[in-house]
Amino acid sequence: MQAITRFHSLACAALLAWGVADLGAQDILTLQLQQGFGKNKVRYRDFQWEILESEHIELHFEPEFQNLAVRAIEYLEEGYDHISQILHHDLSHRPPVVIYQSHYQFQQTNIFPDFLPPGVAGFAEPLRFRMVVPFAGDLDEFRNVLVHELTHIFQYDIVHKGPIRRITSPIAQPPTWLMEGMAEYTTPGRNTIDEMVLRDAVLTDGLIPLETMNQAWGQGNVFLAYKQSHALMEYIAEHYGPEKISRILRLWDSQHDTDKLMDRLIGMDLKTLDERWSAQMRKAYWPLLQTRDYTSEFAEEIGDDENIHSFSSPCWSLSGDMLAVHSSDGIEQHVDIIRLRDASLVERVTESMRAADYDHLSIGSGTVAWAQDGQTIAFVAKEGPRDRIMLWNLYDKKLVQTLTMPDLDLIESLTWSPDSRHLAFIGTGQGQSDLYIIDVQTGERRQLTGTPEREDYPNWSPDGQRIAFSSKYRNQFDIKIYDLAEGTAHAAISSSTDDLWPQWLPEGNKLLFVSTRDKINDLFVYHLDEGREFRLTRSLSGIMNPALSPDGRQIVFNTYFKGRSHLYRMAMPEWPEVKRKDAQLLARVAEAEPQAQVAPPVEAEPTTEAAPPAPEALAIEMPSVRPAVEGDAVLSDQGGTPSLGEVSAPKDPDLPDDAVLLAGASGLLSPTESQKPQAPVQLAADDGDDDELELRRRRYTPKLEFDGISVQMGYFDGFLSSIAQLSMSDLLGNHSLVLATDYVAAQDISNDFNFAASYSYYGKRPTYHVSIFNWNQYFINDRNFLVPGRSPTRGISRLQQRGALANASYPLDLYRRLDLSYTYVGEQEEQVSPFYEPDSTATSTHLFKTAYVHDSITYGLLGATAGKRYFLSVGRTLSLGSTTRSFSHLEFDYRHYLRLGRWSVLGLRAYSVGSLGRDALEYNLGGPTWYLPFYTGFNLNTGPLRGYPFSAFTGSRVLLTNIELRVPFVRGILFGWPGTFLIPAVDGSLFVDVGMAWDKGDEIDLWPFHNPHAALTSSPRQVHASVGFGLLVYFLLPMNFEFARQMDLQGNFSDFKFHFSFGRSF
Amino acid sequence: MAFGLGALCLHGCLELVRRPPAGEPFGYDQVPAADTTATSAAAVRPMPTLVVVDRPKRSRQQLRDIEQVNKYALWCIENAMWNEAQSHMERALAQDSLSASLHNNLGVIYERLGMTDKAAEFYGRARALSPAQEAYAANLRHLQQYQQASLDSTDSLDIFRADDGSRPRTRRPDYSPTSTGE
Repeated sequence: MQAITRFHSLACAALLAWGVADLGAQDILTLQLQQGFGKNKVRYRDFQWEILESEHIELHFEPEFQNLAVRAIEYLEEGYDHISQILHHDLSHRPPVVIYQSHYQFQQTNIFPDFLPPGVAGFAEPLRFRMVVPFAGDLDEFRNVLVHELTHIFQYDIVHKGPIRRITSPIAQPPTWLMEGMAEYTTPGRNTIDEMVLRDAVLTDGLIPLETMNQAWGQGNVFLAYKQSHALMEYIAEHYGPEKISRILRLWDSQHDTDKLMDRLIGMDLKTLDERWSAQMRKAYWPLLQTRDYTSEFAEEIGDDENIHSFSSPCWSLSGDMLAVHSSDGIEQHVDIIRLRDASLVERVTESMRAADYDHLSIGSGTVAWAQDGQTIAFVAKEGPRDRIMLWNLYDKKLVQTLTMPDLDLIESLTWSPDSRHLAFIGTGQGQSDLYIIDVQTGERRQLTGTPEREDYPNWSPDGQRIAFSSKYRNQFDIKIYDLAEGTAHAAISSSTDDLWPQWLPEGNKLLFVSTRDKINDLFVYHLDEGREFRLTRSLSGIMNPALSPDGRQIVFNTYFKGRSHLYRMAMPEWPEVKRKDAQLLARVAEAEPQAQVAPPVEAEPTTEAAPPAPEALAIEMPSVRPAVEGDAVLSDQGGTPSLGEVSAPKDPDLPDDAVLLAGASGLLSPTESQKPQAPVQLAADDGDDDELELRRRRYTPKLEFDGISVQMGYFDGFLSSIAQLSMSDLLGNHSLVLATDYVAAQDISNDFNFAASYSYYGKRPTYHVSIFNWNQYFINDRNFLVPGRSPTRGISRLQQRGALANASYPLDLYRRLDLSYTYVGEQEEQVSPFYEPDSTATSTHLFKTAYVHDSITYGLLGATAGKRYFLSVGRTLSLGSTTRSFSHLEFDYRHYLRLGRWSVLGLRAYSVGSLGRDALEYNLGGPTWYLPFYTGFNLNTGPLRGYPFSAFTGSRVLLTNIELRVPFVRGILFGWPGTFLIPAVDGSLFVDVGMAWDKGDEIDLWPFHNPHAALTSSPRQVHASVGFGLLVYFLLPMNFEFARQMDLQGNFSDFKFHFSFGRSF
Repeated sequence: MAFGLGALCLHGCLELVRRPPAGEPFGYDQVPAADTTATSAAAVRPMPTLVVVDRPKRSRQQLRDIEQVNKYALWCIENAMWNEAQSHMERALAQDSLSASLHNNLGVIYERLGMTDKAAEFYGRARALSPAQEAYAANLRHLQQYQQASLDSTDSLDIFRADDGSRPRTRRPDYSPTSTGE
């Protein structure tokens, strides 16, 4: 069957764009035969949803984390008032909010159809105002994400005047940086990590220009873009009034040009705003240079700037010669053992493990830990629905054990006991995160804490009797020590800022830790016997993930510099030196203060009202009891939106600004003076806030609602095509119904009406899809007619297709699945112009097909970067007589991508397909893979076989192999004219294609390959080969400019043939 | 380069663990069967600091653990991480203090790290624990010869002095100590 031009290609494209390609955009049967790749969205769990309704919110949750749901409602109602006050708006609709008890369950949501990567903290969508947010282990973070997403709902409501499923809704919305900056502005607080990223950009001249900020959400430093947008909103609010924030959205209604919008809003264009804001930031941060040190001044980098890897979660080997780290080169993540002296790779712990042993590594703080026996490395990886602890043995160099905890979804912050038998960690499940220990030999587990607040960063004491950890109370981390023998915890280090990452010194009476005393993470040592603490650093960049060497003489830590994480090591001073260092740092600040006129940007400190719990030993609750702490932090407790330069911490008038915090940090720390007893705890079930909020509770029942209506019209060569599509789904996206019609009108044919209806179910692990359709397509046939009064005209045929499809897919895991389908298509072709002539050769097809699919590749902008994918597809028609098609289908496609260096990739592919039997189908071979984004026609195309015309060869059997080397040419070219735009990637390619197509019974000549100077003959069939090069450019979408020559490996080449195509290469 | 040569030598001398022959006296590491017939444990004079002690036979697991530590130490040495090798050897010896090969191999590491006195001590312990293993005795002999030569060296007869008159070498150029497995 030849490729045939279709008339209603425009309509087809519209249908494809709406994702119902199987409803008639192309030949139904060929679409069903095409096997797709792709990773799987696995619904591991049958969710039991209930709804809590409050005044402004409709919250969807599962009963097993009801306490978290009640808390979420509180946060959302508080957030609603807060946002409403800032934006001067009330929502026109009550937004449905869906919360999940972990990120991994959030990844199973059907509200967003595609895979949600680990970095996504939540989302809001404008179609139906749905918000979806997971609990990631920290209530404050949870609240912040809820408020952030709720702000987006307010924005959508103001800009679109309601959910945009209405046809009349305006579609355009303000630039991303405005939307996200506003959402960050309304979100309480800015933590030291946010500050660190912004400060680094200011001090290293790395700020994103405002005119290209939007593109950062596609291919740039997204985290910085968020923080920069936030700071811009603060600047506007501070200098031009908070009311300007809400004015932005209202002005957008009449002014879609951001430059002019800013001119109307604050009387300056974007460039001027950018300059003034940047100047303000420099004034705020540059004075820090006088009193603080670059990390390179007091520590030595492990690796260097040119090192392509970034390392995190460092932990020491037995001798201190090596480190185990998470390493990332931007494409793959691994657990590596590196040399301390030069960061060179010694051993790749997770080599070949992804897809075989786990789905992906969990990249969090402390998700790698090296046991003190020197031979066991524990790391956390997600496999199936939850994290697991994997134990790898250094002697055997293999995985020796996997620890799975069915009630815990997330596992972080591993630390080994000195005897290497127990692991302590933070586990998150059922809407709460707590401290646990597990015996790795018996699997016996013990829960140590039971508060709803966050615990983190446990570290085992050298005697094995105590565990130091950070514990949050009222949005602030303090350090506690848990006594394993007594089963109690008491506060050890409490200050008015966060105290994090405690590390025991070998002598067992001192703790190294990080504190955010003046909003920059610095290292301190706390002497438990003396009750004093000493500052070790005054860094510009901030310090994260410190790890003390086994002999206590070295510290490795992460810092953030020039937009990326770096790993440093420094010497741990001897004890007398620690005291001298502390005094020196304090003195330096005091000396430098007269020159430092501008205080560093800090946010409002929690006052004594938010004092940490008492140091007295507190009984730890039983695991089954999950008490809630009274007086949960409310938005006002976070200090609202901080203003730059503002210091609200209590100060000693005798000391300079910067020394105020030091004074609190250095010297005698008396917990009893700065703390008040911990508030009594109550059972969350008794939380009286339920009554105050007047919550109504009910079960969730699926109800189909409109997602949207689409109408597309097109005209081509006398044919008018009009497609209408109606999409419906339930709120959770489990049920989806799509109805489509295509009305075709032309002078020469009678009017025609097509329809298709499709239902999909995603509520459980296997997914189902059924469709019925009556879809006609038109094409010019090869007959010519002389019609009286008209010039010779070509005949037009209509292919009627009607039938039903049923597909089922069962994902084995993220990377593997089984597909099963049944297709019934009845086809009849008839001439419709210039006169009607029915064709008696109506055929029907009953096709059963199954496929096994594996796909574990990682993708870059221009194609696969690593991994492999393959499928084996087998099909057979059911023969029910002479009018039914009879054939078997066998198809295999294997692709492997090998990394050569950081960016280069060698792609290898082997492909074969065969259609066997009486009515075997013909496949096309030749040209690039995709000729146009929406190739119209009977699309049994295979490829690429470049150097040859598109679909140059046909046959019921095809063999093809491709070898392609892709090398990076350019990453990120910024153009200033016309307009400012970015081309993120340009690659070069070298390739060799070899393939042939033939039919049953053909004589085949395998060698030599076809001489490009010889004429093509139908017999014997020969192998065709080509070699060439190409330029792969990503601009909005991948575009390929390829030049190829036919060859026969005997020294004969054709001229170069040029191909242009869209889409990623194979 | 010196590390590389040493690693090659160590590779070549690594022996696999074998079960001790019946009748093997307690208190000694196993030795290859051929050696046991050639040399009686009682015929070799133990080092003065060590005595023959009664201890149970090694279990398979113990033997496997020792072999693993030895292999890991070799891997560390190949990767020029002598401290790491030393740490694991010392840790293994703390758990099984009567392994001749661990003593010998730790001696090799000490010698490489310049701690010749400790190296001699550990070679001696290895030889005492497994008198039939010639490699242990050879390591000790060579080390003692080297130490003696260093002591006897004068300006007129200094075999370790470089031609250019620079300070004496700290390594013997033509000899690498031998490490073994159990």
